[in-house]
Amino acid sequence: MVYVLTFLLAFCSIVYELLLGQSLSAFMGNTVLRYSVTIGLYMLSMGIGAFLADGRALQDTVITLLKVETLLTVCGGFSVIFLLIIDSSGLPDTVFLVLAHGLIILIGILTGFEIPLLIRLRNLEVEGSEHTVLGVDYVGAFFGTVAFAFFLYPVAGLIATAFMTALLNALVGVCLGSQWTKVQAERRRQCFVLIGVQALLFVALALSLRSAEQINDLFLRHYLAS
Amino acid sequence: MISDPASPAGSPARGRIRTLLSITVVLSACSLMYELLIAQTLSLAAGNTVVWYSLSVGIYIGGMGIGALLCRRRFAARPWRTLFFVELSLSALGAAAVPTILLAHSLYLYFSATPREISVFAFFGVSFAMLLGVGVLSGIELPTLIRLGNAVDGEATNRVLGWDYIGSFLAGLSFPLALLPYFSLTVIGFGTAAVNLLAGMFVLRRFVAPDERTGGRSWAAAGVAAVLLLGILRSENIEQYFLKRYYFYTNAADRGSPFGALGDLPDVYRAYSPYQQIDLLHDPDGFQGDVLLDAYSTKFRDAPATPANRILYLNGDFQLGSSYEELYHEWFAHIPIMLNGAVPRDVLVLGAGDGMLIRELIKHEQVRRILHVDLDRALVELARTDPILTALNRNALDDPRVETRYGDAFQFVRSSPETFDAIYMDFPYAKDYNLAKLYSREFFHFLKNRLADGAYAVFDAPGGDYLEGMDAAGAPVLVPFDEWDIYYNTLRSAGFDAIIPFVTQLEEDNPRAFELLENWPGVPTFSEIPDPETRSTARQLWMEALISSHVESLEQGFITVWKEPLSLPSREYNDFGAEFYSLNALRFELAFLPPFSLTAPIDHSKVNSILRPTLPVIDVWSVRSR
Repeated sequence: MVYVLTFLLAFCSIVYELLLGQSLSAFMGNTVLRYSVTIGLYMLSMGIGAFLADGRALQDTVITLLKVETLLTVCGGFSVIFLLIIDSSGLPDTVFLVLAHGLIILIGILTGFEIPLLIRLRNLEVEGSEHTVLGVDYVGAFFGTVAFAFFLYPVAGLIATAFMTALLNALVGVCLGSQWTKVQAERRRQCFVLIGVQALLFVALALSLRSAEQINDLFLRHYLAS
Repeated sequence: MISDPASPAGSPARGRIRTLLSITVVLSACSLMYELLIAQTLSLAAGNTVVWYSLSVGIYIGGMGIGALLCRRRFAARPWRTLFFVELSLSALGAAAVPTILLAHSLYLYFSATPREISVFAFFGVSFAMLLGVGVLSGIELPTLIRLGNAVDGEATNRVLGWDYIGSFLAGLSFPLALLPYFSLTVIGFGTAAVNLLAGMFVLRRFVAPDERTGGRSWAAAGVAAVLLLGILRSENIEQYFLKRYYFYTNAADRGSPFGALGDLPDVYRAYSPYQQIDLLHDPDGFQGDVLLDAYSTKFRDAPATPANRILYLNGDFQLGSSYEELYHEWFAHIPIMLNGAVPRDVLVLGAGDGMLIRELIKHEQVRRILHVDLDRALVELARTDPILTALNRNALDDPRVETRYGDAFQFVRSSPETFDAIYMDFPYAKDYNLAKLYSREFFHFLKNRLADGAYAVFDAPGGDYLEGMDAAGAPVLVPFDEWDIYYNTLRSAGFDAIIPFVTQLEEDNPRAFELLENWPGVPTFSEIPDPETRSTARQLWMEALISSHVESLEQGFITVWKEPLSLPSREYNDFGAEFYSLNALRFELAFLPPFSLTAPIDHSKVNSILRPTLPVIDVWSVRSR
């Protein structure tokens, strides 16, 4: 189970990053620069995330993981629309660049945070599974890049891709519920609340995805009017 | 860790961990640099940056996963030694990656021009193997460094990881900003490998040598270093080798030389810019139809000094050929003016950094001002100073009416408050998402805001295959191909209802063409045919076929759009006082023959948007050729 979750989470994270890299490239131009910087920043912030993941956060593994996923779902799912709104609002390009790179760093940090948590979650079941979790994570990332390049961007487009990926992410969040036995008894309440939030996000994203075409047109009109 | 109270700052453990972290930064920067180099080489060889950058990252990360798994099983025993071997292999593989992919590309092209065609997947296989190799080695590197860090200082995992990521970030930043605009990919690869090797040699001397004999390994490292040094010193020869193998692959195939340096062919001039590689080529063989040029253009009669057979390429894609570019630029510049019925006063030109289109526009005195917006200063500077290009564009870019600004065309049309009587867009074809943006619904929407009342905009729409033969009634038949549908639906969705496409279409019954061929030694004599009448018919058919293929190879589509619903004053030929080498009243009529459908309702699935691109329409698994 943990491996499946790891695979899906890695898939989602890299798709978010590629989405952001491509949004930057689409709104600001210069693909090579945008992609190189996105990859570099993503790795850097994953490092920061790994630094940060210790102590108490690591102790409350499932709770922390649920919080991380909630944030990732929200940031990733609405990133493109958010950037589109910013770009349409007439603010200087600097604001857009700062926010877009801020999102790249935030998603990177959350992803970096995720891996030690997943390793710990698995280690609660079997000791010494670091390498396998890492390996599965890398494989998930590989499939994310393939899906993005060949299917998601050209067929679904930026906005629907963001919704789909976040939908998957929320689904993983809900599935994390299966790990509830690993939560201390007094914190289970919080755990269920967080799972409820994930379920709500799931429904919201499913509805958004259903009307992705209209949402796309709505924000595009806003952008064109700017 | 046991701290040394006597000298806390300079304790050996502390010094060691600092050394280790410094090595980590260097090594991770080198690893990501190899990945980016391969991604960029693949983008240039296969042509869709986003696809190849995404996929390269994926394969690289996948390789790192395999490396991490391998590391756990095999290389745990002597980490310094493992690290040295990994760095030695990485520097050799990293330096070899770019030349190997270029070589695979050149061999693929070479064999594609011979009967022994090889699969395109052989090319991609070689490239992916390089990426995977770099990924696996990098994947072994990181856990090894962590293990070493933990051996020095029990809790170094996070710090090693952190500095590793910082190294990656530095590479991600310096590659597009500091290296790509100035150096060839091969040189960047060799330079990175040299830095990598130095780090490896440092590891060997400092950490391995005290414990064991390292003679053989020192020699191996010295050998790689010598190769790298030689590669950097001879980088220009290496670059010319691959440039000629790319541009002259058909010559190479004719000679049956899969690896030759083609030293007798003229060198290719290459300039680098932050946006593209600019190549200016002298192709002494010209192209097959050269003998017919004079039938369709008076250029070499009126201006015999015009440089012939010079070809401009951007990122390896054809831009213009000096022998016949007037057949493109005269149509592009003047037919919209004729449709418009008046010469525009204020003109915006986007792209067109080579200056040829502007040369045509300034033929009209009524054009008061041309605002020229181009992304690439390096290209414009070349077009203003290079003797070949200035002979072709007649220093048009220095005309006092022309003002050149450097910037992104998309940002310009979006943010400029100005309006123009005419807008000309001359961009490279949308072979990439980056360029597809300039043919998007969003771009055309903003473009419309830059048009004054009654103004028009025009761009060249790729496709040499608009027309294919004749139908039973003798009318030209349009080949409906995806790109026309995309342009049509995208323009309509951006609010343009008045669309007129036109095509450079030359007449096939040109008497001068037959006259030229009669005296051309290339026409077969068909002496094996005994009957003189059949012989002359065979000759006639052969010449007709040659002319037809020549005409077809010069077909080029353009699309004009008007701000208002169409009420064109004329569709009459009128040169407005400009002189042409090739455009005339007959060819003006032929330009509108293709039966494009201009009334179909909008098909939203075909609209090209920056949010969901439908361009480029190219097979991902295809390889770029000149």
